[in-house]
Amino acid sequence: MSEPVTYIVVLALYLLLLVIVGVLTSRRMKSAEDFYVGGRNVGPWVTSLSYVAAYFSSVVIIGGGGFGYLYGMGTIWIAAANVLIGCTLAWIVLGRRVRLFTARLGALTIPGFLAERFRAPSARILAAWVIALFLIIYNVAILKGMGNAFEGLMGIPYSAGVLLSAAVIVLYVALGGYLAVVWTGFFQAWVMGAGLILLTVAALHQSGGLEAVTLSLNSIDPGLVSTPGAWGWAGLASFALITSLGVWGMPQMLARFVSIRSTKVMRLGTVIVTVGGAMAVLPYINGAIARTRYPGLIANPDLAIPTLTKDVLPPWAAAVFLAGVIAAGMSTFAAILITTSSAVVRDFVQKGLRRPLSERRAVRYSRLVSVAVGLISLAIALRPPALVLVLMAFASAAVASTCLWPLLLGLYWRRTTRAGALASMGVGLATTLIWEALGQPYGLQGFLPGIGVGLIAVLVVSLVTRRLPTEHVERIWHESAGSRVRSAGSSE
Amino acid sequence: MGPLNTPWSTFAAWIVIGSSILLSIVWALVSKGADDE
Repeated sequence: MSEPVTYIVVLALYLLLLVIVGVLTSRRMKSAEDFYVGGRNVGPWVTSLSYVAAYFSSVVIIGGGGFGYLYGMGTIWIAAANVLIGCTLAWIVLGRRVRLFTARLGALTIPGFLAERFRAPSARILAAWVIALFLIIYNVAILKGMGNAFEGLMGIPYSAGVLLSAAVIVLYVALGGYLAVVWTGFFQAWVMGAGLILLTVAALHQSGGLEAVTLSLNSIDPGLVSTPGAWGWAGLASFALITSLGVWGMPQMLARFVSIRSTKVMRLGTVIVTVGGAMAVLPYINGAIARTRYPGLIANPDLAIPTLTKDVLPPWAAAVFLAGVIAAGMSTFAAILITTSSAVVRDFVQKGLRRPLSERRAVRYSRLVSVAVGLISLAIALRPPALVLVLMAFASAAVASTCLWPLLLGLYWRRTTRAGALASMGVGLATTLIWEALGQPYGLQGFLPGIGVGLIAVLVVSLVTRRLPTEHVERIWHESAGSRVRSAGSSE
Repeated sequence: MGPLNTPWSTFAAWIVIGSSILLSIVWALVSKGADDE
């Protein structure tokens, strides 16, 4: 088979599989709870691998390769932080309590958890708006990443790649809801892993192994093998922290903890997510390998991975890798689409505006909103603003700095008050936005001052404002001592 | 220099990744009795 035909056959089979998953999962959907969190009955393999798939997008694979190319082996610290903080510790620290507390409070979404935990309907509205607005911006960047991957790896025009990806994702999300998102995410994680492993094995084999690559990098510039290398501590550490700790405040990731079957299966899930998440190291290594082979890409390091792929992989393997890159983008986009849809329909229309909807109607509206959000993202992505990657960092920082402390302290500090949570959300968001608007003073990304000020706000305001009623707090906490938890009724 | 001609400052990242996997396994084993469900 010729190269383009191989690409098209592999890609068509892969997209067909996604649509089949959408159709199959749509048959199991009866309620809004099924649409948003899969009836809270998703197993550990699907939950954890779909978490990995939603975590790492095409932008991370191509952009991570670019960082590896520019700054060398020290960038594997980003992957190390992603694995330890973004995967293992996120599951250990947040997973179990998010599952238990959302079940006790009957909350299906993160805005719903904040509203019930702090008895603060306004927290729900603020979080829902921030999610709907900023995650759409985030999604535009994800779609753009996929369009670039189609163009760079396959020669398919950007607009066709964007259209094709968005159409398939919107179709399976609208059909199958959350279950379609996690089941496709599960398959996508395998495709991503297979693609990245194929590329790494071939690239290392043709470059004489890891030790030879290290020696070669050292001869170009010793800073390419040491840490922090040319990037410097401020750049490397802040980027590693943002991409790791930021996940703790991202609702599309936290939804996995709400939907997992039980805290019991979470133990196996934690091991799977850690091992699966370790694939994050591969784009950086491949970027560093590309530096030894193609020294002329300094002006455009994002070409490192596409160039390496075409050079070292046979067409069939390159097609698998391309499918992996597209899978990475699709799984992230789909996870955000379902989270945005739940924020608009569940948190804003049903709870915020107090519009009672029948289960059937709620599902229908959620499907419509998923399609609408997908189409809006698509319309913007077809002619993306030049600063789309800057906007992506800005959008994720805004969401994470709004949600991080109310969520984390809401799970661990009983003394957190309604006013404290709201202050942290407002001040954290405002600080991040102002910091970004000022052009990131001192080279710091807005997320870091945002969470710094947000933490001070939640601590100080909680200590000086009225506590939540003791019986409310005890209802959330006391059962964690060992009694059985009722599974989620949607009393939210 | 650490293994593979890599400085320890960089090789330590591999140790962190390996330790995360070990940590997840140990946690999965020791948190066994604490399930609420």
